[in-house]
Amino acid sequence: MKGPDDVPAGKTPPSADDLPNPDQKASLEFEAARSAEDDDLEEGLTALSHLATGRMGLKETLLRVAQCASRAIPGASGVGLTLIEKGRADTIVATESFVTEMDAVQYDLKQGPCITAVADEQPIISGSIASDPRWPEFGPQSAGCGVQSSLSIPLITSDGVIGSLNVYAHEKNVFDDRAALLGGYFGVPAAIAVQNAQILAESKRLALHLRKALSNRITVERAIGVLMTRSGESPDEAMAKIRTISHTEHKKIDLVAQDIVDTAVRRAHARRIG
Amino acid sequence: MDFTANISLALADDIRELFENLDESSTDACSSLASLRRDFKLIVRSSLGFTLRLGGNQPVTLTSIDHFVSSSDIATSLWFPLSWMGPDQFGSSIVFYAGVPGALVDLSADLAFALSLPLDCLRLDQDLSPDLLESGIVGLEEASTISRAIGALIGRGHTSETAQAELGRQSDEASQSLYHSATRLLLAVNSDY
Repeated sequence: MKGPDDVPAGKTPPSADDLPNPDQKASLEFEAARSAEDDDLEEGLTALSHLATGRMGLKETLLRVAQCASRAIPGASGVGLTLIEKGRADTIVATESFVTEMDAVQYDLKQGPCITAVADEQPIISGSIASDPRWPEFGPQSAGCGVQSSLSIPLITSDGVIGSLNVYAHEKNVFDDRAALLGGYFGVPAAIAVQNAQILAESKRLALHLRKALSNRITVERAIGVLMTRSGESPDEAMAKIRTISHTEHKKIDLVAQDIVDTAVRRAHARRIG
Repeated sequence: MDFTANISLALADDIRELFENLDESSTDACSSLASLRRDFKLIVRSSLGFTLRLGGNQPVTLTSIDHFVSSSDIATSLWFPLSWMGPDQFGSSIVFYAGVPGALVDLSADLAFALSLPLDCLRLDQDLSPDLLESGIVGLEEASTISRAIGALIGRGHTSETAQAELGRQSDEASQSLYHSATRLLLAVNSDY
């Protein structure tokens, strides 16, 4: 901290006339708070922009998005991301455990800010959840979580709403339209992250299934070729023999095939060395 | 699960054929394929389908595309490598097709960002002509025949490496494809082949 003696060279300390009046002081404090919020927002968005999702799992990606949102939205005590699949809501990630508890109460009662945001496809703000007339049952039941304010942003894709970003605060009247705007900045990448993750995960899953099947198939075909040469069997007869071994030895077909190929290769090596 | 809404019966048959003689069911692969078609359709309304190419010595290509698509219907394509999945998938790739110009621009940027790949690692509009304009698997018959022939050569005393080299040599000598040389070799082993 700088003291009065730390006034830079060439500058004089402020006189009484220079000190701000109460209105100016409030304005300066507001500006300072806004500046700090902007710094948080910038930090959160910068972190978000460095978020490459493909090599992370969906949960890890969404947790990072939730953490960035929690840092950037003023007053947020905890953030969670809910995804709706087959009509069922599920909190995928939460920065704090009370977020999961809050969401669970909503899913049980089928009412609450998250449910309303998804149904109405628009941000929902509540400054006093306990007494909010929109959710007469959820309000009192959520009191145990110590949450008083909420902001729920729907995650909207071209296919409709896929979930919501839920921001909670322990104090009353924390969120306003600006907070909803900020939340929207995080809802968009969250929705995109979900879609990307789905496309990449399905591409990967399909490629892995096919690769494994092709690799096993190649081994089985090689084994058929080995048996065809050895005993002049037809491909069908060779396959039947592999099946019989698989059945009697309780061994998977591709492992039997691999054994047949490995044995033949070992013999070839031995013959070459001999 | 009913896959027929998202994939053709012919393709489902081809996938079953790939899994034939293996202990595993083709259900999971069909399910992944159907999900990928669905997810792609959700993101890109004009999506027409995709081609997944498994690289390797004997490449195999799976195409899943809407019925009655002609090459003139494909207005845009997005190719991206699958090498990020691991060394097994080097040479493998996927191409998405859509019917509206520019429809894949956003997806291209999003996937490049998601995979931390430079944008030029993804190819836009350079793969507008799929090998197959109907759903199915190409290359499985060739891969099977070549593998059998390599097995036959191993049975004759070759190692895996020398068997592949020998088949390649025979193919070069006869100026034939590996597949034709493999078929000829198998006919010599079993005339009923």
